[in-house]
Amino acid sequence: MSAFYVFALTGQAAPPLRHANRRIEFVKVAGVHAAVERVGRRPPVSEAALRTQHEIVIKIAGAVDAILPVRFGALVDSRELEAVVSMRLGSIRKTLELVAGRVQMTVRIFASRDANPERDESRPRAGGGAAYLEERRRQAAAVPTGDAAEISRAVRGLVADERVHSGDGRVKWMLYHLIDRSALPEYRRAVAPFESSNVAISGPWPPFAFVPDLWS
Amino acid sequence: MTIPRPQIARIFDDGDASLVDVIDNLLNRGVVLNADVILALAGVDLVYLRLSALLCAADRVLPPER
Repeated sequence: MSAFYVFALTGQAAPPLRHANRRIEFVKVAGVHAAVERVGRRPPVSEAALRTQHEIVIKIAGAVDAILPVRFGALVDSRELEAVVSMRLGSIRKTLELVAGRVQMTVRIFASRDANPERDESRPRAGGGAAYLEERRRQAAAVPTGDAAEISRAVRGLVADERVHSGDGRVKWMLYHLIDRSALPEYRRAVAPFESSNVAISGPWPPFAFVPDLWS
Repeated sequence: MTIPRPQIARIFDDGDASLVDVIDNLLNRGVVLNADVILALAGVDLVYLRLSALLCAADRVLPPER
């Protein structure tokens, strides 16, 4: 039984990759593949560790058509990985089909600097379980308004999928767009008029925001 | 339109990740693989259990009855 640090689930294998003295290999797991490193422990959370993993995931995305990035810290044994993937194989395969040949663009819309950055007092304060659940409910029910709605409309014909999250404080909205790699130039032209000190657009990224939830 | 593999790698190479993107992508998004459990009811997450911390026989945790 091996311990795997998992970077991504992928639709196909690629030759092993090397990055910063680390060897990432593709192993077959229940009919899909996983990009893994054989290690004995997960790295402690640090900016350097996060940046290195981000670079590795981007490298993997450049080597395969379909990738589902895995959240930081996924150290699992081979049997556990097989069990988790087998349990939700249908959902994983369906999402791999959705993201194949596509990339994620991220749009962050900030509150105006002139606006009062204080949080909405009608919302519960962070810290308690009730506040966390309320925040999750609010984010899940988010319907974009203002700039977010306009940007959403402007790219509607270009995106294969969209995720919308409402923020709090400085970040009002986060839009995640899944687009064909070949549609990047057109997407950039469509969003360019909106870029400002209040609207930041980043990417392309692997489709971090379009992964299946394996635990619900 | 199919993009050749080296060009695909360059698409991502052009990205200059800010720390906010790195944190959002790796800590807030991405597949959750670890064997943790979220107990949900009607679409609302209620209880989060980290199995690795709980897989322990109760008699090893609870004091023996006298």
